[in-house]
Amino acid sequence: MNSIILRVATKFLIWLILLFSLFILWRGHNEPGGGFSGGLIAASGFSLYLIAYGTEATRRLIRIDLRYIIAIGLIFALSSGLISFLSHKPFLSGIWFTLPLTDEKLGTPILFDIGVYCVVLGSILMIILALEET
Amino acid sequence: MLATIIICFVIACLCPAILRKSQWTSNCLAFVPLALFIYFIRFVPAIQHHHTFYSSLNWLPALGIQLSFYLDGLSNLFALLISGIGIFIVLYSGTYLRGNPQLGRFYAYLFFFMGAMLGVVLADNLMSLFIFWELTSLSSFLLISFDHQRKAARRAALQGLLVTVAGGLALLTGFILLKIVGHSFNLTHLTQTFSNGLARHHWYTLITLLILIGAATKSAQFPFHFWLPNAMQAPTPVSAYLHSATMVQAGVYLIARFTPLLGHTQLWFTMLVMFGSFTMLCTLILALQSSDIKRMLAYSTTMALGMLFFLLASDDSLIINAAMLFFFAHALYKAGLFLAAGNIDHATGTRDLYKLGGLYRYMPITLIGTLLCAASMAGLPPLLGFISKELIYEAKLNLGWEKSMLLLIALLCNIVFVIIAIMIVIKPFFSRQIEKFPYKPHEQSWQQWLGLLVLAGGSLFLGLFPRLIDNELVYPATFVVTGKTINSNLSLWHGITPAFLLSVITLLCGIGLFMGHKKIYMILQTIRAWSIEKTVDRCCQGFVYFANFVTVKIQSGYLSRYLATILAFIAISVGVILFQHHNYPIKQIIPRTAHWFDWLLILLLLISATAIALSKDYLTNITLLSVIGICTSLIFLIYGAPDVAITQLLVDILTIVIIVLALYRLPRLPKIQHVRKTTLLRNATIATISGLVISILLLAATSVPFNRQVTTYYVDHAYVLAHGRNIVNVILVDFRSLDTLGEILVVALAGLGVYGLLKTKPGRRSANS
Repeated sequence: MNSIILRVATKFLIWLILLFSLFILWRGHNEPGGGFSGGLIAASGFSLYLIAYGTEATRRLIRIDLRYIIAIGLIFALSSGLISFLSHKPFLSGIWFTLPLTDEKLGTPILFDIGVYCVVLGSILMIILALEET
Repeated sequence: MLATIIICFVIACLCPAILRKSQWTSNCLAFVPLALFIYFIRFVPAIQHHHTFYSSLNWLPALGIQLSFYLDGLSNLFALLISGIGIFIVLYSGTYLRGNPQLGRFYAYLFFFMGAMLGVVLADNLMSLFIFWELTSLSSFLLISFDHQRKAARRAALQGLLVTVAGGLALLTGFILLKIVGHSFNLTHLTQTFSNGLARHHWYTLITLLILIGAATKSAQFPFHFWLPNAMQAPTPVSAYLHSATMVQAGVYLIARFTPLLGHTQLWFTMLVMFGSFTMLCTLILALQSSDIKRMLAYSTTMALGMLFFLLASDDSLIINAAMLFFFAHALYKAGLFLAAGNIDHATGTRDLYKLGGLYRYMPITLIGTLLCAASMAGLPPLLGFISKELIYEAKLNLGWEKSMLLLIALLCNIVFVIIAIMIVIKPFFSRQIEKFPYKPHEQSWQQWLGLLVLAGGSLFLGLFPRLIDNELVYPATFVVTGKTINSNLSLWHGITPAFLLSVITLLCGIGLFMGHKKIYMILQTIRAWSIEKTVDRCCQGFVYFANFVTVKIQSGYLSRYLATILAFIAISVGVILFQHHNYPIKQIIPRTAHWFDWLLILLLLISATAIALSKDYLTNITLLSVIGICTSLIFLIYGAPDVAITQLLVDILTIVIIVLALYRLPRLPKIQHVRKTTLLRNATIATISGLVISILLLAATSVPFNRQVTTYYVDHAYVLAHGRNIVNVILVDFRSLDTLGEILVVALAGLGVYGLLKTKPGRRSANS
């Protein structure tokens, strides 16, 4: 779309939206949010960019092939399961450890959530870009 | 033992990466089967004393499925042949397919197949056996269709796959019934439980038939024999491998393996003899009908398989011993002959026996190998084939004359073996050359004759010194099948016995018939028997036509019709049930605690819904739909489900984006005004009814007392077990993460699917098919 306001606004907004999506992903464990909503927010950010600048610019912005993003997401999700599998627990059960300085807990479900984020982001962008390009 | 299989699979994965151009990498790959061969040969002394080796890894313990492996005399014999012949096949393929850009892919399939085959003969757990069994079907499909640009290769591969996989399903059913009967998938365990056989169980007949069908399809027994000769479309080393000791012998292995459990009954005997003798009689005619060397050899393989089935039917230890020796001798000479056929094909460019001739001048080494292998096939002394034939005759003669019919069939089969053997030596090498070959004939490189010479030399050497394999390989295998000790005493010369006389008769008849083979060939050419293959093809085609018919009927291609069907179905099915159980009290329609803001939202929802129904423009419709979506997510937010609200809102936004994009792309969208009145009326009716039914269902569902057990569990344990305060997310990524894994897989596939649909150019498909 050839609108100068949208283009200029998008330049700032997309980074804000992407940052926000990461924030939603991170806080999802304790407060509303999570990988799915995070991925959707990121995807809507990119589609805003797509509307403002077109497909080629969007592909340049993303750089990585979308199929790889989906694949990376699936690998993340699977690896979170495999970690528990390798430590002799049922597939996909959460493994947790406490961070040394703060009292934060870190565990494999976060890996899983990142996987969900990537898959959702990749798939939706793939559909939207394919629609826009044909 | 699991390691051997994993090595094969890992090498298979590496092959495409490491094989590029150089000949040496493919030569070096031959060390892999060599190492496996050495690994298995180390077990021989222990197995000679009836030791067995067992290793197990839990896979799905809840279902009784383990990756358990078991090595005894029988599996060792097969494993040795798989790895031993594999050495030469790997060596041979490198030069046979030299310059083929897909060589890496070929080796990947070959090692994949080798691993699967080792899995079949080593597996103890029936489920792992079945999985490896199917993997051999799959990998042989890939091998046969290696030259996938030829239609014949694709067709042959598909045919082989359909037949063997259908048999595999029968096998799976049989295995599951066995598990129900014996409460275990482990073969060793089952054999111990039913040490006197399973014959008295009332499911015995069913189980036996199912397992026999599985074995017969794999081993290409009549009436499933047709896939094997067609599998000749594979590159020659593959045929050599598949036919000698692997793929098709898996059925023989299965029969031998199940003899202690299912054998020694009338049914077992009758079925196996029927399979065996029908196959022999049917395919010996087909063998004499063919002029292609590979095809003729393929039919001789089905004959040999028939012979093995036929021999394994018996519960006489001597006959089983003869079967094991025959299997061994056959593997050696058949692999050799196929390699020789590959050499001839490579050197001259043709495989037609009636066109070849005079090759003895050009290919002396191949000639020596072929001569020895063919002599073993014909059963000439002092080769291994002679001993095995003598043993078969001797064992059959011991049965007495009332089973002379069976002896006659074996005799006939052996005579045809003699004819084929003579044809394969005389025709290409010594007959007069009639026409020019496509290529100028020449001897092949060492990789291509080494295997042939070693296999031929093995037939000769072991024929001269049969004691080397007697107590080491053949007898332990027999012992596993029969469980009885016998005095296996292999030797080359028995003196002039009835068996020897029969051998002489076989040979003389064979030579005599070879003299008249032209006439036989001509006569047999006139026979055009009813072909099972064509019937199967027609059935497959009919199936496709039927599927096409049904698809065309159901799939109109209009999204609105699909939606109408789905909604109408839901409305009717739910409506009928609601109507039948109309005692659900509907307590309240709107909560009494409703705030003024709620009323506002409801009003907004109603207005936009009505506006959608009345609007005549697609864009307006979509905008109004998004109003509904946002209102809904606000309701979620008010009633304490922020996670659902966020997701609903985002999905709504993205849906709108996608629909708008799609709208722009659609070339000719009919104007809403132009839709026919009847269609409008129909859609309105369906929409009203389904909306009503769903509303009633929701109201009824919320009126039923709510069971808080599950909720309480999650609320109580979310932080304790999963260290998260957001219960929805904890459920998604931790408690029920397997579901989520499946869901994101679906999301990924949906993305790829839409991409594929949109990116496929319409013209390309018609060019491919």
